[in-house]
Amino acid sequence: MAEKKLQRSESNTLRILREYAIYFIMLGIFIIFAIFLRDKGFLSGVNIMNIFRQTAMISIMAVGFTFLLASGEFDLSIGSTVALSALVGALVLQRAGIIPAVLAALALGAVVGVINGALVVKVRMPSFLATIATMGIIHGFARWITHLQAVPVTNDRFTYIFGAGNIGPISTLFIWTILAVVVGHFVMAKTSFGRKVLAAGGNKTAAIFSGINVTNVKWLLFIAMGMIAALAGLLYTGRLHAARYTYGEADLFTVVAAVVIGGNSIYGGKGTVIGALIGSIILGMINNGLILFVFSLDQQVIFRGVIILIAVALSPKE
Amino acid sequence: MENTNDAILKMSGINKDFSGVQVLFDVDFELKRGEVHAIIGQNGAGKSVLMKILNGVFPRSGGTIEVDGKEVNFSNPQDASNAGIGMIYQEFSLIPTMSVARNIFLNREIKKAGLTADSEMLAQSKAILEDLGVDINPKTVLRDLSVSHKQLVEIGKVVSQDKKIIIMDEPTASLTKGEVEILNKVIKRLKQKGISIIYISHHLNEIFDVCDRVTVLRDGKKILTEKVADVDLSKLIEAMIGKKMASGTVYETKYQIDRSAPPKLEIDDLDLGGSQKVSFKLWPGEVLGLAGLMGAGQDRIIKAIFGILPELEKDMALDGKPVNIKRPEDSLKYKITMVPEERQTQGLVVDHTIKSNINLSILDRLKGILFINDRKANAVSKKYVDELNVVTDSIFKKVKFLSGGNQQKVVIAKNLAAEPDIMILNDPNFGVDVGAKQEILQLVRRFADTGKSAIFISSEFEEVGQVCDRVLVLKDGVIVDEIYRDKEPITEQSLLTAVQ
Repeated sequence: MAEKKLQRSESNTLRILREYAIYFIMLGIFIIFAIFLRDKGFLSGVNIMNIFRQTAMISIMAVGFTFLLASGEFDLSIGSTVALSALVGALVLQRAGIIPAVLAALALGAVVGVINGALVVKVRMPSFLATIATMGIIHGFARWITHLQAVPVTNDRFTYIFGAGNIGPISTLFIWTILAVVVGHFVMAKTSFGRKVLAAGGNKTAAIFSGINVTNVKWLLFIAMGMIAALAGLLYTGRLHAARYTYGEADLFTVVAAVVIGGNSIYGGKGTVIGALIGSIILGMINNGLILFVFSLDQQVIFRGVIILIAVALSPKE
Repeated sequence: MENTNDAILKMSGINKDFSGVQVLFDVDFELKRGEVHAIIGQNGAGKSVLMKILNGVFPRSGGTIEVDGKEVNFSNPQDASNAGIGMIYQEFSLIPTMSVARNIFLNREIKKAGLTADSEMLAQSKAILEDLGVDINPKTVLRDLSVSHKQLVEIGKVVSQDKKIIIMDEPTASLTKGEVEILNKVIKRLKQKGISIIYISHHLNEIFDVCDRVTVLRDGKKILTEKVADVDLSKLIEAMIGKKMASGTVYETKYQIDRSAPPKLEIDDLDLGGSQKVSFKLWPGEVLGLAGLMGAGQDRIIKAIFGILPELEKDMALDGKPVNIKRPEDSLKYKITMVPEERQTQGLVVDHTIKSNINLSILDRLKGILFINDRKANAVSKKYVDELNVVTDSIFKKVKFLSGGNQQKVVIAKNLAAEPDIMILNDPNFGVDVGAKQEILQLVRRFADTGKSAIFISSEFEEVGQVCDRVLVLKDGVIVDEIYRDKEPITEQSLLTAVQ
């Protein structure tokens, strides 16, 4: 009996360690880089802001993805939604103003979400398969809409708001990130909607028996995810003063990695938005560090894959 | 060694304890060649433990088992199978995505030159099923069959393996009357071939149709073994429940139930597929019991009310106003809640805390303008944890670390938090420890005594008698009897007799 109790408390300590491991890891990596990359300016304010700038879109999408994953669903089409909404936004911007452009991009994201959600909750396809298919379709549209041509953006106010501007030393991208994380965190942790998401992913049957409309909850999450991907598309467009069909191509991989490293379970029922942000920052720091260490792009990609494997191996299992 | 040449199986002095808790006491059981021998008893009497020992699932703590005069020690079901013992499981051991023929020959496929001989297996499967007198195409994919046909395939699979002893655990639970007759014919055919059958069932009447002898177990002890011709139903029931007639405390009704007043709930013409449709009323202050054997329809009634089986046609009225409940979400709006059968898979999010489980049904009520009012959420959780005496050090403990009884209390707390007018409880005491059982029964009674209504199902008829004001007795989807507490005492014995 006493032995059993001991084992329990041991595993409790382990669980607590695991829960906060992510913070220690972030700190550890930061310290290592700060020491070894001291001469290359890792600690400079410009470089730190650069890390945030580079991870902003990932962090923002990770917020949406955390919700989907918490409800037990996936959306693999986010990368191609980024590209298509960037192009649509930029094209509308050339012909009309900022507001129509933003509305058009967000509407596109919403439509993608409505379709993804319908396929999952109404047609009852596994989200994994449904969104692989829509990913391909959206990617096709993104290539087709401008025949692979980039769409330049010259509207300064647009680029200022969506990523290229700075307020003092602070990038507008940083503000967007903080906004997304704060809203996401409070919705997840403090609203009844957040509880419904967690219940839907934790035990769908119990959620339904408790009177929760799981169908609507999940559908709403897909729509929100589509719109968040569209926002990321606008941010890429603003930051780089142009829209391209290649935007977001590698983002799915990084977003999933950030969310999982952040301590979210791929089995649903758990969701930490702050964790996802930290996961994203860790990946951003590693990326930044690898560049400063002068690793090639290929090597960076390999490295990131290894990191994901380690993170998933450490994450709690069923 | 003594060799009784007509006994194919002899289990002597079987004892079994699970970490110190004795569940079988010196049980003797003998099966003759070509005999159909029934084992009956209440839940927890030890039937399934005894069969699992025979089948090599559990090791025994004491006693001997002889098959065909030779002492045997099975350490797994494969050993038992090799010795000629086959088991037909209640939950089917079939692969839903495979054809009937592939299922029948699973893991013992007929091969020619190393390849599976599919046409040969099809032909043999056809012969096996025809021999049983059932008309099933062996090419059919299993999941396309009805539940009862699946059961017959399962029987065919075991029968075709040349077993000497076949254990049938509740074989008729999912069969219709016509199919039960098919099964009876199959059993007679097996007998003629000299195969012996152990027949476990709660349907006592069936035993008189097909069995030669019957053994009754109670609380882990063998009470009697008799030829079925020498016993009758009342003797069997008496043996099953013993002399402890007024055992459980009866929780008295404190609310003045007025059945001339308009009812809280009215169900009309609910079609459960029986010969008649089901209609009944539920009044404020009542705990209404639904009693029947497995598959008699009690679970479908509550699922129809709660919106899990909206396809079952019915007219439903609350406080005299017609309502249409299509999903559980609607039920909650009409203040109907349910304590489901499977607390872990249907009632709780076990990885979440007590608090978040209790709050699950009332999230919208806890909401402020934007955010959940955390103080209120804590207060509600705390209130019910105290009121229901959930044993835990905090409301932030994950539910999976609670005992079965405390988990069930959390489910009930979740229901009560939603302030229901009608609470449906489906076997709430299954797998709950003795102390918590009584507390849960009292909770149900107290709930109704505040003028609310409850619908109560239990696999323990004793409990039905302890709390219910009125019991509807169901058989094959039809209400066959209605017992009022204030007219005659509702006892385990009266219910056991009524449901047969």
